[in-house]
Amino acid sequence: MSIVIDIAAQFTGKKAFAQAENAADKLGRSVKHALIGVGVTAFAKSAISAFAAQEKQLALFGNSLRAIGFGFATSDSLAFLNSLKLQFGTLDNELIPAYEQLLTTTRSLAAAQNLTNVALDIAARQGVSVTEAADALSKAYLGNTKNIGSLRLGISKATLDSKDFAKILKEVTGITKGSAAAAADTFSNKLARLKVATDAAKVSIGAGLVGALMEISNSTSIDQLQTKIINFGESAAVQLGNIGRLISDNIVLIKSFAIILAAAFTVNKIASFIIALQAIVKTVTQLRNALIASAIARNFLFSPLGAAVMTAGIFAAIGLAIKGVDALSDSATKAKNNMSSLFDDGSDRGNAARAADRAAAKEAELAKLAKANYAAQLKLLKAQTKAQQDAAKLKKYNAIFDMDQIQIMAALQGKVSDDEKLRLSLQLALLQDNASEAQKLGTQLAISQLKTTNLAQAIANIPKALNPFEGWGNEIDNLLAKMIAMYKLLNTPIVMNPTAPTAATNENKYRQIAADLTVANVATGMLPYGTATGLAASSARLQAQSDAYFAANPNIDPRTGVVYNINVNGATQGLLDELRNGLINSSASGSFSSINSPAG
Amino acid sequence: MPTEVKGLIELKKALKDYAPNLAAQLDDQMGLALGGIVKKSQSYVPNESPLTNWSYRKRSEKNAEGQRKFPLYNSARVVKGIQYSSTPRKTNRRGFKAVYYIINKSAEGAIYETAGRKNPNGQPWVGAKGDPNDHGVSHSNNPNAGAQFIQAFGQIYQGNLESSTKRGRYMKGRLIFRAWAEDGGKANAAALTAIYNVNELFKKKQYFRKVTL
Repeated sequence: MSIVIDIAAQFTGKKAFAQAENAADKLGRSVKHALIGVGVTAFAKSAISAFAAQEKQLALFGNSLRAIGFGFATSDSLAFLNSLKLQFGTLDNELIPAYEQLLTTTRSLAAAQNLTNVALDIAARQGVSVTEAADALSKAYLGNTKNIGSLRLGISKATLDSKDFAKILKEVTGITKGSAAAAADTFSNKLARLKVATDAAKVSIGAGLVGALMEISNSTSIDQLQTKIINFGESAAVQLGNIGRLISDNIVLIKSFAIILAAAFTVNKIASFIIALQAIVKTVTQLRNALIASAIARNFLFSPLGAAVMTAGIFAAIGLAIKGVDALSDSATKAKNNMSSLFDDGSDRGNAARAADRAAAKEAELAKLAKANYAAQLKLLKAQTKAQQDAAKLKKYNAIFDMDQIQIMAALQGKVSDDEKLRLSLQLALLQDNASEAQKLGTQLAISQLKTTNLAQAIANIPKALNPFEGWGNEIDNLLAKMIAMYKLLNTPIVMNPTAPTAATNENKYRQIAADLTVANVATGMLPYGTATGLAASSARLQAQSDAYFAANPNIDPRTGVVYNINVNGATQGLLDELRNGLINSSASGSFSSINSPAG
Repeated sequence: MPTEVKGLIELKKALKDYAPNLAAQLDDQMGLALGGIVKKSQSYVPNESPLTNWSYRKRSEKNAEGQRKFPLYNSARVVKGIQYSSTPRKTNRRGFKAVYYIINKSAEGAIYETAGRKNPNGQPWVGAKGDPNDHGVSHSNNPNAGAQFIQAFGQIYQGNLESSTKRGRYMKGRLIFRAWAEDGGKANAAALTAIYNVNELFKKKQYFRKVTL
């Protein structure tokens, strides 16, 4: 014993399942065997024979019943026996003679059926046939108890000696009752019942077969039909043999066909598939020729009965295959034409494979060359870089003896401005062919120059300082003119006769004010006919009061509330007119004195 | 239940046929994953016999009928018998075929591993008078022989794994089951990860083959 701990396992199916599958396979093979070839003949013979035997037995049974005056009860008796047969699995060849004997003895259908049941119980209990049990019961019914005693049912000797069938039957029934039913539930009896059902089916099939075959074959009797069917079976067996021989003869071709097919579907290269397709076409064509030459010709010789169907099926399949092969051939030809530009020789798969290998080798070689080229270029670049670095170093040391550079270096060491320093450095860089430094210094110098230039321009563009008193002359003059005019106006006595506004106008104005204010108030969320209208009416009323007040008091400034008291004594409208005319004349004359005159 | 890996047998066959390197890699990784359990299990094997006189017998190794007697303890043999294997076993009665497994081969190792599972205090004692062919009872002169035998082995540990055929007390032991329980499933996870990774690699390899052909 060893201890095993499974880490990873796979379910591969139970042994019992495998056994069941094997059994199913065997059963399938048996059924197949029963239905094809010799099995067909055997089954047909068996079914027809069973039908014939049963027909004969039933005919004899009917005759027997008629002989004893129970011809009318034939169908009822058969129905009873059929039910017993299916219930207890007893075959007709036992049950019918037993029933027949009991009915002959008792001359009573009820007694015969009852005793048949007892006979079945005895047979089941003692393991004897129903016929034997029925025979013993029949003899006992007639007073001969020897046989029933020899069955060793355990009937008392006194009962047997009394020869009283009622007593004997009572004792026998007490001993054996239920035995048949109990036995019917056993496995073997169930099998027997199945066999009964199978036989019944076989008989039915036989009856149907006989009817159908007699119709087809124009047979006049069963014997004639049987002969024809046996001949059919033998013929079918011969044809099956022919097909087997055909396969055997062409097995090499079939095998190669299968191999090529497998290769075509497993290889992933399209090119190989197309080439394999051509090989398939070639092989199938050979196979087709072989089929046509040998097998098909022989299949034509089949006998018309039954075998013709098989022949037609074979031909249909072959026809489809031929069509498929032709279509395949066309496709393969087209594919080959398309491929001709890709491969030198597409005649077989080997050439294609070699071509593919050559292409791969060439590709590898090209890749190798490209790699080598890249390495060489890289090497050359590195050498050039090194040479440039060396040249720069040499130039640097040569620069020590360059007078221009010496002067520049000397200038740089002196006191120079930043801008000059930049210029010197740039000049030095240019002399030394230092591009990066020259670019850097040049940029810095340009920025510096730009800065300087912009500053000068900005200074030049500064606007002149603005005169804060510029434009004041006119304003002051205007102001002074207004002050003078006011002064003059103030010195003129004026009588105010304001014209009162019409009531209708004022009313319209204040209504409008009230309406506008109502709208404004409503817009602020007030109720239209409540707060908003009331507030607007109050405002309009206040406005009206205010207007009236300021209209009555024109010397009060309505904005500031300042009171202007202007006293004009004796002023009349004529005076006002005179004053206005004087002012106009003075202005027209342009006399300064008139302007500054307190009177005018 | 052990972990059921559908298609594992097919994968192994495919690896063997088409990717031997990957097959070797899988074996190496499984060895690494399960080797720890094996080493740990071996470390729990007592150097000396847990019972005095279990390792020594004066008379023949076979009885009068020529049958093997009760196996003697040999620690080296027990250690050697604890192995990891990747050779698929026969399908068990539930239809599972173990592909990767750890096995305790030696008889004495199996005894040390499992003694006391069914009867923690030993088998019922009947003595020498009982039926000699009845192996479900103790025939020893000492009524406490079974209990003493089991007590000498020490504690039996519940392994945190299940078999396809057995479970519960049948998953107890002192060597492999103990090591497995203490490992906490890490080895199992590593083994399954190795299978998964190799499968993925194999699929990629197939893919590249398709493309490059």
